[in-house]
Amino acid sequence: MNEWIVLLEIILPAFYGLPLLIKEIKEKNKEIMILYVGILFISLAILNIFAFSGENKILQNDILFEISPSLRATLWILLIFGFLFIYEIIASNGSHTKVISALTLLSGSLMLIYTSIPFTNSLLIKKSLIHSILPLIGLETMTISSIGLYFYEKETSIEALIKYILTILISSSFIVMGIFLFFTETNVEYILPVATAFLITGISMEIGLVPFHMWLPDVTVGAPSYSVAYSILVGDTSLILFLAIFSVNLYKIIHASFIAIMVLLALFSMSIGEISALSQKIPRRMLGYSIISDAGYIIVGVIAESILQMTDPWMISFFVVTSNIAISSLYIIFGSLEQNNKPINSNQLSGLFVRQPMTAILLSIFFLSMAGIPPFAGFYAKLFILSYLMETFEYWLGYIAAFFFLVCVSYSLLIIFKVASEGEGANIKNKEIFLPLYFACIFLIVLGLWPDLFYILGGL
Amino acid sequence: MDIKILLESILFLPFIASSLILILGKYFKRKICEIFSVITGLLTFSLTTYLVTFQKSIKHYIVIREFSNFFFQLPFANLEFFIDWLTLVMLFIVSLIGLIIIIYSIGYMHESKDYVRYYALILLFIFGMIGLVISGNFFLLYMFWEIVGFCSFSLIGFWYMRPKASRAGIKAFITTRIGDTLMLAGIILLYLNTGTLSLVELSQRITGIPTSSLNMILLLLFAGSVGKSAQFPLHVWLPDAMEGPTTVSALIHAATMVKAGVYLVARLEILLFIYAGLQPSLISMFSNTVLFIGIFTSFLAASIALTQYDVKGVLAYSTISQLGYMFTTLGLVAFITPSLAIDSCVTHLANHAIFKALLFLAAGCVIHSIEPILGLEVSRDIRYMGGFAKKMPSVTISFLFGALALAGFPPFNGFWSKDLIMENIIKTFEKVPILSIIFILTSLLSVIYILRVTYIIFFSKPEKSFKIKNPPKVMTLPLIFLSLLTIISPFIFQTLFNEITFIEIPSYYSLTVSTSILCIALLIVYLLYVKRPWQNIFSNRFLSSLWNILFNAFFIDYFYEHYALPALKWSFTEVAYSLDLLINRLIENISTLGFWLSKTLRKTHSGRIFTYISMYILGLLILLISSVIWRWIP
Amino acid sequence: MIPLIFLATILPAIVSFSIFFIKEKKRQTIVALISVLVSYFIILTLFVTKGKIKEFLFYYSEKLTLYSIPVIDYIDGISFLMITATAVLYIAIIIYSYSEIKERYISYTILILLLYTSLIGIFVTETLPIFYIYWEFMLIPSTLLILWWGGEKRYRSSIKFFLFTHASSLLMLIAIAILVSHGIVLISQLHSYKNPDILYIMSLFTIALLTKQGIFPLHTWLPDAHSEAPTPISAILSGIIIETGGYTFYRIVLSQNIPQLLYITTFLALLSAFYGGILALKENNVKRIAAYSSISHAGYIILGLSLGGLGSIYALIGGLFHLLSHAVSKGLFFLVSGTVSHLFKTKDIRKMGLLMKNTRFTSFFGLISSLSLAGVPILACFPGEFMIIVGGVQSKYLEISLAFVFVLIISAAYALRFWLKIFWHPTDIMIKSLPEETDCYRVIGMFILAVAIITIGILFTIIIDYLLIPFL
Repeated sequence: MNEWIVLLEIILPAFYGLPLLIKEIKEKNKEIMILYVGILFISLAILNIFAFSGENKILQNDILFEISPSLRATLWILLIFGFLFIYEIIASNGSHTKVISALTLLSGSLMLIYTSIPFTNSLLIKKSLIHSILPLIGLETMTISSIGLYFYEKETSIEALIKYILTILISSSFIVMGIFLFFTETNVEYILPVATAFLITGISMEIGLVPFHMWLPDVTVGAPSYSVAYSILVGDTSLILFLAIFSVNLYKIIHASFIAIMVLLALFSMSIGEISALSQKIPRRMLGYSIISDAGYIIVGVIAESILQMTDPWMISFFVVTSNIAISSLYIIFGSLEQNNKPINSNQLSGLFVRQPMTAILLSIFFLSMAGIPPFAGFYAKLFILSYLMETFEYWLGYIAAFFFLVCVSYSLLIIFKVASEGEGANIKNKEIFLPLYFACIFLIVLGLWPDLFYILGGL
Repeated sequence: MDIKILLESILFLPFIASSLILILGKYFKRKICEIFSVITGLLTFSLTTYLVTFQKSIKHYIVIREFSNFFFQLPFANLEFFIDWLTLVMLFIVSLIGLIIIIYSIGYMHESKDYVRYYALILLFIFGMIGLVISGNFFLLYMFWEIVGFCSFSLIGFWYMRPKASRAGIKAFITTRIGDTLMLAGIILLYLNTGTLSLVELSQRITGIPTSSLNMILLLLFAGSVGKSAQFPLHVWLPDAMEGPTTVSALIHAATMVKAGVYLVARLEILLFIYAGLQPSLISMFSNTVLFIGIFTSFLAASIALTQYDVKGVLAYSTISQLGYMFTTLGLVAFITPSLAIDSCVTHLANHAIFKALLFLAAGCVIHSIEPILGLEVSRDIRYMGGFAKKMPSVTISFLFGALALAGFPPFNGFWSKDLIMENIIKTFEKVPILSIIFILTSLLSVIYILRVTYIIFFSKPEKSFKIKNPPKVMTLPLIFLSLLTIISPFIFQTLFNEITFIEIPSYYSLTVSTSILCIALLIVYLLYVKRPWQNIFSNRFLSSLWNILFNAFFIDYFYEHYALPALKWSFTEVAYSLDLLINRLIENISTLGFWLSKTLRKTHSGRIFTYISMYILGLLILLISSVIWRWIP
Repeated sequence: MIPLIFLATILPAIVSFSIFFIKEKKRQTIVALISVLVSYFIILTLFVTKGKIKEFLFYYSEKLTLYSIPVIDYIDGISFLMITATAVLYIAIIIYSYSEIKERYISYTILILLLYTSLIGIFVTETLPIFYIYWEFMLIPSTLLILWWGGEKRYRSSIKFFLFTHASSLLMLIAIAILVSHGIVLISQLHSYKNPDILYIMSLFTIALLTKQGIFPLHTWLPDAHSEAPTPISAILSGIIIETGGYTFYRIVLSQNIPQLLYITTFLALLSAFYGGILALKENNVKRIAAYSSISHAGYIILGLSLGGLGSIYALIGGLFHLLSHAVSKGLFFLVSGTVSHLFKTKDIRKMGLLMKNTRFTSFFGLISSLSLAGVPILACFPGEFMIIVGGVQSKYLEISLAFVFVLIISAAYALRFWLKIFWHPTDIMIKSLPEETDCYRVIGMFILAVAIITIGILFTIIIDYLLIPFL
């Protein structure tokens, strides 16, 4: 792996955004900005291919960047859908600062993905500071740029922003504490479990596990919808993969009681997420709660994979990719339905099928994929998770997961049926947002009917 | 002509005729339909007489196995015929009565528009009855049994516009259906124990069945015949079946269909005792139940018939009691030799078919004539009739002949068969005295009720006389032919079937008993109805309440209608309905529970930032403690 | 060689997209009819020429899961039996709905064809995950069909229908997940799965299948869904979609010998036969009578199959045969009840009567369907019921057969009540005028099913010898 090209690939998006600040590009209309960003993503793709084909040169004496096939597959999807969702940001006339912060977010997540494997290797074998610092840098760039992404003048989003800033500050402090505890030289045997505890709390605060889930619904409602969509897809995915890679050797470090507590928290987050989503009136808030429940599934999946000692987290990456694409596209649709940025109510949705069949079909497809109905990718992800759960835990956890799948199906069904019934409701403002959604919907269907595509992407 | 073709033609001729009438009937005038059906009746009758007279050579029985067509490849369901003297007797009766009924119904159904459906169903019924009688295995017998049941249902409810008629049709169908399903269970058990259903193989293998399950099978089959021949528990449908046209009552509910039950039990007994050579004492449980039900039904029906005002109702109850006689003779198998019992039963069956058809048709004439004046409902009530002797002399004579035959006066055919039964019953006097006492009582009652009806209709003074037109020639001629038959029928049957003793000089003892019964009965009728000396005889409390019980048929029908059925229905529907409600309510509650839970959960989510931070710290503490705790727990 | 079976299943779905561009209503129905006929013709020729065939298509997921999941299609006698039932019912339904469905006809035909693909898919696939995909995919079009063309309470009953069946099939998802995690992917590999928790997995399967079949404790969705669905859809629903439960019960649960489970299913089947029959007897809404009678006949099928599982071949043949005969006769029963409620503009049976006078055809079809449901000899349902009784007694369960005979009486009662009350008896509540005969499309639709019932009733020995016995 040619590390020079990888380094270039990580830094390029961050610095590529700077010229946007110059005055005359700001006023130009959207096409130029889209073109500008398009060039960046094409170059990133080319760099990505070259990074692999060339012979591998190393910056320092030990390997800084390493990637496994599943991570490569998620990387490819991040690149494709990153471009699509930045296109969304521009299409729903987000300001240029949003675009810049989105690009920096992308570079942060690339950094995190590339450095997660060296971090976990160095964790156990040979502790080296550089390996611990790099993921931290990636993590911090992501969090700071997402603050820029969420900024919006309206006072409710300001309040959401403050909550978000407070949460990520606390979580990053926990992560930093965790990482440094890992790399201290003292060989007191209880230091490692404490370090993992700190690191796990930090990350689960970002994902939205139960005790730390309070901020997520408010932020997803307050912040502008296109930025929430982008940050969920790009930000959360890389974070969860970092957790998955890191947790592979979790099993060796800490005792089973910690895992039991983690499973318990996961169950709580599943239940609270799904059940409180049932009675939500505002669809965006309902999606927030479903993200919390997804966090629960992810934690359980991560633990199952770590017990099975799967070095390459295929199942988690597949699940995260499919559910995040579905949720973020739903956010885009709900965002476009709003008037003057006030989140719509669920009975404003009724009768959408009669007035705009295409939006309604897209909406129901994304909801069905999130709920896990067969012809779409969500089903295969759920089948994947269930077979792993059955493999590791006894059957009871499978049952609880299946029950919560059902609750998820029921509230997504409520929305679909409301859309399909008669009545007067909101209309979509701008039509340009449809292109990426068509692509996302087709991608989900194709992935659902032929999951091996994800594997092939990995090997590219 | 080879017997195989003969049988196929006898069987399928009515079927083809009925389907032709059903399909093409609309396009031809009424005359052509009538002539066409009379020809088919005549043809079947002549073929049967040919079969009966020229096939003397049958020793025991003949079995004809039809082409094993690919229709019925299942082992138990191949088309085969089984002919022996019992089948020949039944065939002869069915075709004879069928022919007479068709001729008679030309006059009777003259005004009604649905004659196409009527003739098609009558011919279909004859096809079913013939098939039932000659079928060689129980599966085929059950098929024809169902067809006959369907025809009786559709003919009872012939005037489907009248709710009373169609309700009577349903009642008949459901009660017979209960009997049929039990019979089906019996057939299945029979098949599973012996492996075959065809009569020939059964005669060899039936002795192999253990006696307890053999008794069970026979009882189940007897349940089917109880349903069809309207014996005690399932007799409620026959009096209501009188809603149908009188020709239907004459053909189906007097002469042929109700005999199917008797035929089935007779067929079983012949199979068991004569062909398989089983010991009668082995199946004593079965024969005793047959005996008990026969005796009890005959007494019950005879007593009810005394008080009925509807002329067809009286005749219906008298049919039930006469069928009770036949079942009693079949039940006497354990006491007297089986062949004697079966002979006496068949003789009574033959004679009863003739004089009961005669009685019904004569009553039909009377009803037909006063119907246009009094309307359908009232025309059957004997209180409005009276003094018809002067108006319709030929009908009166024929009704009188039928009545005397039923009562058992010497020259008529009823006398021979009744005395034969009397002889058998008296033989059992030493062992079971109660049997013969009840039998004597029932024969006394039967003489009284039939003479009462004849006197009130024909010879009593009418309150108001109204002008009625004489029934057409086409209805009176069959009556005269039938009344002739009541006298000469035993001799004809004796010449045709010499295996059975139709005419047998009764012993001195039974002769005295029967003549004394006749005289007492004559005296009672004379006193009660002709002279009426004690006018207030019915006023005292005991007699009037007895009369009321008898009139309402011991409230059995009332009990079924108002207590048994509604209770059954209520118990099922309420239980099922409440269960359905319970489960639906359960499902609804789960969903409301879900929504309530989510509402409460949402309340816990306050917007304040400080709760968030405190939750973070709490979460961190939980994880820290759990990661370190394992060092202290042992 | 080109995957013919897969082509036959996918063909209607592909054709359904082309319907967008056809404007005229009549041509749309013809296209739909042709696609159903062509797909059936392919399968017919395949079955006739080669008998039992297996066809490998591609690997669903090669590397992702621990075990590779090949996609295999196959046809044998029983699946061919079910496909014929679906094809016959579909031809009748498409013709019937030409005059029944007035608005949004294009999306109606598209959804019906998608439903057809998913149904054929279920009878044809052998891999479990793909089976599950077809199983769930069947749900979406049928719910939408109920939702958009249903009766008054359609919103509530369609949600209940979707959630109920989806919840139970989630249990099946768990069972499939367990099997997949142990490496069992194909239905044919099922009997090689030996470890003790097979009873556990099979009970999961049974719960899902019995809900779909509408057996007693899990049937609450059935009456609402059927009475609210439009007539042709409720005919498909109770004709074919319910039978998929029974068919898969035979394919998956009977491949293992687990007598304890089969005792429970026999008991439940008998209970639901009673329950459905009695409620059908009491119900006054025409469509709900048919729905409850579907519950009762579902009890027959599962009773036959589980008795077959417990050892008697007769009951097994009876159960399988009843799948076909119930599909056809219940389809006609629903069509007749739909036409009747259309003629009288009400669903209440008390307001109906004396239809025999001027609607000769509908009353004849009503007679055929109700007598067939009552189990009259020459019609479709008699052989199935008769064999289940004989099978029950053959496997020494005499009391079950006797109880089953009693259920037959109840079914005769409600079938007769349906026919007499609507066609023979005068109405309880006076109505202004008797309706005239329906238009010709509805009559043709019903005629096809009536012919099917009679032919099945008469030629049942051929069907059993050539389609069932060699493949048991």
